[in-house]
Amino acid sequence: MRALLQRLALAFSTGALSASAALVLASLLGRAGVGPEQAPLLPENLLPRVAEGALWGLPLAVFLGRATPQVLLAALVLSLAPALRAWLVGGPWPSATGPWAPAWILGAWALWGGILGLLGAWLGGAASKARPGKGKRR
Amino acid sequence: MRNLVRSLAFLFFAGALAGTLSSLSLWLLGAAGVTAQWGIALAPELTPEWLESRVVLGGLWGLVLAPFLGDSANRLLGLGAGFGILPACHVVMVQWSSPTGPGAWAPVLVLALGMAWGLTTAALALALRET
Repeated sequence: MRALLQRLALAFSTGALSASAALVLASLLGRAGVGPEQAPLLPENLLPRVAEGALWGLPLAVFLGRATPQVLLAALVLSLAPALRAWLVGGPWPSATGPWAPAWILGAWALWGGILGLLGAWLGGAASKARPGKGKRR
Repeated sequence: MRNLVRSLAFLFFAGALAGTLSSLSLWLLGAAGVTAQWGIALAPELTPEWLESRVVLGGLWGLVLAPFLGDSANRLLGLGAGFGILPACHVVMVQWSSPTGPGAWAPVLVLALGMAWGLTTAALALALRET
């Protein structure tokens, strides 16, 4: 029970941290003119989006503790769900219009997924690749 | 380094979960008309934006317990209830235009909810912490 709660806590917090990072990066890219302009980074815009990222990160709890590539792949696959939702239903983040909007939405959520996967693998204690008997020999 | 970040992640989750429970309690008191009965004009609507903001703020406030995570259970619970005063003070002193805000008993209600949030955060942190 405690282990399950710990995994959920790690997935939730990692999701929140990844969302914060993705929000800031998307906003910076928007300001630089590389991507579409995003809403200003104010608490009323930031807090609900961070909570959304944290909630979308919860399913990663199932994959924590596995090898890094597996956790990363799982996080990237998980990022498809909010991306598809934002594309098809529409949502407050990321704001994108025009023919490149789907690519921008997918890219922004893939960025969230990438950070989520890497952080999750690190915090979840990814299984080591090292095999016994394969170390340095004297 | 990894253990420190894990501890912070546990505290953020504990604070966020306690923030959810505290927010739902406040909404329930408002929706049931209890706050109105006490002369407090505080009945927030249960919208995703309102709840999500309070969840993240609860998680961020939970991080103030980080230096005390290794303390004994009783001390951590006491500190949790004590630190619960901080978000209550922030609401009363910063968010409200006057100290009594939406009613004379409003600060007491916010303080009680803040202490309950702190106690819940500390209890959850105890359940999550690695021995």
